[in-house]
Amino acid sequence: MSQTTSAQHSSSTGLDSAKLGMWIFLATEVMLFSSLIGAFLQMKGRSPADAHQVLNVPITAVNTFILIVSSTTVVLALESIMKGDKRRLKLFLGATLALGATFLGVQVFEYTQLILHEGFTPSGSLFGGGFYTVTGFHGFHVFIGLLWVTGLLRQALQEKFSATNYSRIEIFGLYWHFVDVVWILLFTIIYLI
Amino acid sequence: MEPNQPGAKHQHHPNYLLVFASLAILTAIEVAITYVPQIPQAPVLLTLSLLKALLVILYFMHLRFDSRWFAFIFFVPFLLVIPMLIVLRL
Repeated sequence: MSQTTSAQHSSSTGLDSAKLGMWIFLATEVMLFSSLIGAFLQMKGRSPADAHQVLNVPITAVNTFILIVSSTTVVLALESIMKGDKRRLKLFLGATLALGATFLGVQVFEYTQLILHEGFTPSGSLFGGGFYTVTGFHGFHVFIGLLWVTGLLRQALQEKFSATNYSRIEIFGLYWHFVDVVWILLFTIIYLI
Repeated sequence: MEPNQPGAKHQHHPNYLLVFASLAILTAIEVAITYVPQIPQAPVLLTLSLLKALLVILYFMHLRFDSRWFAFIFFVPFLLVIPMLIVLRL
């Protein structure tokens, strides 16, 4: 990958400014989610050992798979537009939107099941408080990503991207992949361990 | 945002479907491991999870092929994060 994709947006470092900005933002996100995970581990350690038994691992495993697929569709969308294939760009952006929405829908379904049927509420235990805080924060990031990809899809339908103009897809991809990375870690830390 | 420069295309195109297949298989292995209590769960699951995260960061986010500055910016926070998590876990 080139260090600079747009001469107009190169910083004094020679790096693409938009990408540099996104990587700095992601570094701050690392700190944010690490703090949340640290707090969650503390709360989990002070809750009953079987607190996590109420969580539905099979459904969440499928949801994890859905998010991984969505990450793949984003990178395929970028690859498509870099080759000038606008039809596949729209296809993969649409798929990303659908998969991300499915992920969020499953998360809402999970919350509903846990609260209404299991009585597992945010205020019921320290584990519950930590669980809803961390997964809710991640879900909010997915929601922002869905708004973002909706805007990109609209622009793609207006033929605003080309083989020489794809930076916005690339920057969104960095954000979406990071959201995927966070979930990969959360799935293991919250649901499996 | 301005158009990308012609000729400034990305030089590396990893096999994304192979990365995806690896992520899917590793996820399946993770879930399967939870049904085998004889395996030490936390270290094995965390290792697999970190491996998956690295695959996404290196290949989907292209950090393996991109400027080293981006890798530096992204990984520097871990110098603070890792000790913090160790302390909180103790």
